[in-house]
Amino acid sequence: MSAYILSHTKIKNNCLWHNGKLITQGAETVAYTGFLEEAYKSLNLSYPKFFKMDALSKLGVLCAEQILVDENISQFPKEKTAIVLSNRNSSLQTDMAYSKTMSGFPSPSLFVYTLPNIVTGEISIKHKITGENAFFIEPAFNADLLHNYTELLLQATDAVLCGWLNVGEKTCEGFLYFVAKQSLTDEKKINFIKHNPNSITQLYIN
Amino acid sequence: MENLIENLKKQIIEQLNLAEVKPEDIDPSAPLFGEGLGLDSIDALELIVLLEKNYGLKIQEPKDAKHIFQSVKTLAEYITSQKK
Repeated sequence: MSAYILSHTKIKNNCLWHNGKLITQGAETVAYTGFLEEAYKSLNLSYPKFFKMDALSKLGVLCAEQILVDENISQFPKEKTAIVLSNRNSSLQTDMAYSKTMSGFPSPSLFVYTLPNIVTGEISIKHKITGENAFFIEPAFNADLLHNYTELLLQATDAVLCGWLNVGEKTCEGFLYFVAKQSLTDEKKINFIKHNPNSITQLYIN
Repeated sequence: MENLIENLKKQIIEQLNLAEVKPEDIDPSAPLFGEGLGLDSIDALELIVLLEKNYGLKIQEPKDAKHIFQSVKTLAEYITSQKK
């Protein structure tokens, strides 16, 4: 299956890049939770539910927003767009925060985020995506896994939003990219990146 | 009652993480769910926690919840009635 990466977004070290261009940057001294909310404001988003989300979902929604509102991407049918995500820490930070509330009043709003794939749901709800989805827990970023699973999905669907969303005690790293079948892309409009493990790894590292 | 309504507005904003809402934006008589603040089912559970944590109140009859959580004003009236 020939496929291309049409768009990619990264959040790391309190910086947000889209297709290699720095979109917004926070002070290094700001905790990542503060940066995610600063980034939301700097992007002029209007989605009050954002503030109710845990850090993993905020990270995913911010990364996905950059990609999915692009007119070259939004043309793909939502029912034929899949989401394949991965990370190392699952929903551990939220699990621990919820655990702390259990001795007093267990928090319903924390409880609903005690699964890693809730971020998939949040992205799907915001962008009305109804295709297949999967979330893998891996020891480290695994380009081969994402590539292979995406190629399989592309036999039955048009496009896939893929990537890595990982939140730890002091780390917050997001990398999402959008892959589409070659036959559905408009070569005149988009700078193509061939979809293969090497190109995925290069985008993740750089 | 006025003070209780103002306190409830602040507590609701904090408990429900309504970061873009200010106390003065909340109409005490406006519906909390559907229109108005547009709260959802998880928010309803958070309001139950708020009632118990801040006022020591548990709603004994589930059927009463719909009226109690209709607006900030009805919530304040319920708290006041339980203190008598």
